Amino acid sequence: MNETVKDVIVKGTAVGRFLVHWGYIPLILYIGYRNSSPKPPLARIFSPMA
Amino acid sequence: MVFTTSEYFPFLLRQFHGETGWDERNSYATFCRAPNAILGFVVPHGLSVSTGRSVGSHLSSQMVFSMVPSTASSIGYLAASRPLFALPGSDDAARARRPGGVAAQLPRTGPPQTQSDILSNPRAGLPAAQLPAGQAPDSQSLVQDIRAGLWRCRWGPAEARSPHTFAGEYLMVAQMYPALASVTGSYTVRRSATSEVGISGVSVAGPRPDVQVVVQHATNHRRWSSEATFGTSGRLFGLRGQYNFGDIDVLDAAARAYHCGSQGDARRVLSEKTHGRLSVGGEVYYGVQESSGGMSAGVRYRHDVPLLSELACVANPLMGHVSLMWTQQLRERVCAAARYDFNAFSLSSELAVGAEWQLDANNLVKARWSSADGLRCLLDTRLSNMVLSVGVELHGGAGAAAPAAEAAAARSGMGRLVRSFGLHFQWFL
Repeated sequence: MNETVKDVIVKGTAVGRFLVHWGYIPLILYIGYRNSSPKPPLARIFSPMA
Repeated sequence: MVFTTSEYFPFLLRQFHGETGWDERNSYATFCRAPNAILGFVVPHGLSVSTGRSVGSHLSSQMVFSMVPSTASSIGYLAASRPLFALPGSDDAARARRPGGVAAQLPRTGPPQTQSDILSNPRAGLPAAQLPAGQAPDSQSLVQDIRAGLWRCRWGPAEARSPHTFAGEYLMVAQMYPALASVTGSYTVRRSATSEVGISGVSVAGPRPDVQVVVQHATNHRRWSSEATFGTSGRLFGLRGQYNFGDIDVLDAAARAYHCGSQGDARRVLSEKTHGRLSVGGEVYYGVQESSGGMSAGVRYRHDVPLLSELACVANPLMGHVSLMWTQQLRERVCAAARYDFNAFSLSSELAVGAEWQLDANNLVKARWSSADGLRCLLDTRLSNMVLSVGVELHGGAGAAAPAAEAAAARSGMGRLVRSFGLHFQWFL
């Protein structure tokens, strides 16, 4: 495996790790919001007292 | 460091499995669930407040605000493919007031006192926890649905075998710890009525980012179950399984008839005297990174009728560890357990005894004493939509480790007696 492929794999792993770390919770919010009926107010998502 | 966590998401996970026909008891991972529920409860540490909220029909949130230690604060979200437990104020009040609501089905007479009481009146003191499946919980049952009775087998009326396989049902959970810059998450998806795949992991950001992932494939049949696991931490491979002897259908029908049927059904079941369940299980695991592995095996015998009685033995031959556990339901709302651990290599042993007592619909008391860790007590009280947990751990135990004993002796006053004290306020909105 040459150095270029290794660099691509290492950078791709880092990007994937970043996306999973910062994107998983927004993905849950999007899927839960999309499937909910009726749609909840956005304030209710972020505030426990709303 | 020990963190106080909310009970909301674990409760939703149990509800998800219950609604999709997944028997959590039929797994080697929960082989010792009953004694661990009595002896392994966690007391709050420090002061923390948590909320569990149904944001939408398919979205729930869980927030923990910990004042001591502050690093334990977290925010979490859960998305499911089906609606789970919800406690909106108006719906909750309506459910509680309806004729078949939880409050109407609380026992009007006291629980049976002796075995003869059970035989003469098998259905006396039927607890609300034995309500038929599908009976929606409300705020009045918060303690008994979320905090109490994890050792209990909840029986509902027999349901017609549905052709629905629950394939495609999923559950996504994530919890973020801002002070630690870490996120824990899991994704569980059902492939069929008897197969489930789960991916869970921890991601830590910051100067030394790290990601650990565990992938698990579980199979759950009525006669047997298995789980295959791979974890990136140490390149760990694991395989475990459980096998159940006896006629499962007959045993389940007898337990269901006793707990949900008429008085005549209950007497007939008691007269049959064939209610024991024998299960055996084991696990093997191997870490490629460290070239080491382990194994364990267990056997369990359990009675569900008339009261839960369970005897289990788990052994780990490579570590020389043997554990004997006995769980006995004393009354409808009182359960006790004892565990004896012995290590054949170090010749060390530990005895732990504990009990759980649901005083009423709103109050729960748990206590546990072990020869190594001393006494641990927990009190749960429901106030409207809030559950207040008060926990205390006391030094003691005849076999306390020498450094711990010396540290305790070096303190003064209450510090010598009390190891930790905690308050946890949980709101379910």
